[in-house]
Amino acid sequence: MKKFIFAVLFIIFCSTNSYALRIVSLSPSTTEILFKLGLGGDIVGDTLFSNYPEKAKKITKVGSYIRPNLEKILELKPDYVIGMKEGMNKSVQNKLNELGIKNRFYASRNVSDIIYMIRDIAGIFHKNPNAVVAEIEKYYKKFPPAKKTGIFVVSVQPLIVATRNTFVNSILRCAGIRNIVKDKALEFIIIDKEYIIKKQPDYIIVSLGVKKQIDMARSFIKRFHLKSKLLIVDPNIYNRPSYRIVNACLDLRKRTSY
Amino acid sequence: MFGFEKKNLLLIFFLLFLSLFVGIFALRYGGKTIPFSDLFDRQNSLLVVHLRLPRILADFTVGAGLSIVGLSFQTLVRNPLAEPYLFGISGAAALGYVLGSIFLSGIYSYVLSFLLSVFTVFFVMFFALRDRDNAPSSMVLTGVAVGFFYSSIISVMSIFLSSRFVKNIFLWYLGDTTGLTLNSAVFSLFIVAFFSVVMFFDAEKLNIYGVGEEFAQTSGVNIKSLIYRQYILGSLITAVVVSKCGAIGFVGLIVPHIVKMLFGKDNKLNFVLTFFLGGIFLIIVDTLIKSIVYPMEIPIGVITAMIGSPFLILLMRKFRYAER
Repeated sequence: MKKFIFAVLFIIFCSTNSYALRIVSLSPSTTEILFKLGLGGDIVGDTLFSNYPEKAKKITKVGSYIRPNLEKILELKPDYVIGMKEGMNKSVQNKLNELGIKNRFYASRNVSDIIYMIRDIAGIFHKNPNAVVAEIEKYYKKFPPAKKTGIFVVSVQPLIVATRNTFVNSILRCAGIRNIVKDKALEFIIIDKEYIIKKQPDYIIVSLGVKKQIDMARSFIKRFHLKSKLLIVDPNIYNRPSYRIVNACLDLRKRTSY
Repeated sequence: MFGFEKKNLLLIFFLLFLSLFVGIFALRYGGKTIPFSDLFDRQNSLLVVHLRLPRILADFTVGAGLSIVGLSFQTLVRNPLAEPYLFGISGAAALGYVLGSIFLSGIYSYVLSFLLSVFTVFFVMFFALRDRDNAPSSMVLTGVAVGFFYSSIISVMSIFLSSRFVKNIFLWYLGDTTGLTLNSAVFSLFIVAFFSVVMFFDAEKLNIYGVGEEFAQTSGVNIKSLIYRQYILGSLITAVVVSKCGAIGFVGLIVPHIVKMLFGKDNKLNFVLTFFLGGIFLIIVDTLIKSIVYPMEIPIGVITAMIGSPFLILLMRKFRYAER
């Protein structure tokens, strides 16, 4: 009986987190991933635009996405600081190293980067990433043949679009859309509006939350009598390198003639 | 000592202690205010020694270095508006550093930063010295044009490089004293202080040069070597400051003028005063701003530009009337 009680106690001890982790998440996408892996309760700090899930809004802010406040981070005594390489100042990482705070910064160029990030974060905190990763791979391992063309706009004025070197491109591919913007090295580039007029893609996907810019896109299509269909999508889902690219793909499939 | 009057010597010692005091005092502020008694407590050591101290040292280095360069250049080209940022030298140092870190690496980015600054100093000053009759403001235009040219090259490169690198360049270019490790902050301060001392040894000659070139020649001052030496030292300081903390403007304009207004025109004294007051000025500004906007961060270069631009306009008005 004694042995049995000890065994039960031991199992309870192991399964509950005996000491709480303290994580600071510097970008909205890492915040989402941490929540998805069941680590939301361990996040002690995140940044200004971390707005998903709802709970993330209430977490202490450590400054803006590109310029977090190191003193605020130190004050929160984190065990780990996690963020994206994209947009992050290299000196932040150097400083964290100097302060002896463990940190990881992830690239997010394509879907395998995202999967790597999820696996790595899960590995650090002893969680199982398989379900999340399997869901992504279900949609992103093999793409359907591209029957339509499209362009993905993140800013109308100036016109900034996603190239084929981005994870956003995979969202398009997942919905059977071929991105008309090729580039060898860059991820998001400024292009000439004439290019859109010349190519007339089937879909102009505008991923923006600013009404004025969306109106500009509308009037642009009208003025030049483009046959392209305008799709307004949620930048909080489409522009973030996280597991929610699955939601983005499903959303895009639903709204196009996939 | 060093030929200073007793009164001035006391003033210098006072400023030395004031710098130390302001530096230590500023260590208290930031996110949470730490009482003096706990400042060197073990539990605060990371925060104080590795976060606030390097930043304060960097602030001092930038303020002191750029101010002393401003003072020297103002005397050399007889132009009250001479300043590393307005004369395009900071832009040159920045471009040199960026090019260096893309195509070369390590120490070479500093070397390239220095070489391009020296080139720009001679280029801009050549025009400044040749058109002696020109108003100070027209010389500034040359410098500003050169500065725009360099920053446009940086912009063009940023379009063709990956976005991660671009944001790094952009943020750093705005001026940032937060990224230095303790070692590099101490090292930069040491280098800038060393070059400042070397510049100071020419202060007496600069006084003579200030009276007039003919007078200087008859007094046995080798003008050419004086000018070259000061230009090169000034570029060295600017290159160190800019490659570590970005292009921070207007400090070299504000501080020397306040010093000249308060303490007269003796370069020998002014060099020392400018050095300390420049450092103190930037520590106070940065500490104030970071405590107010906490936990956000505003690049220090943005703040100095906010203070400096109206100051520049005032100075331009003042000296335009003086010329007539």
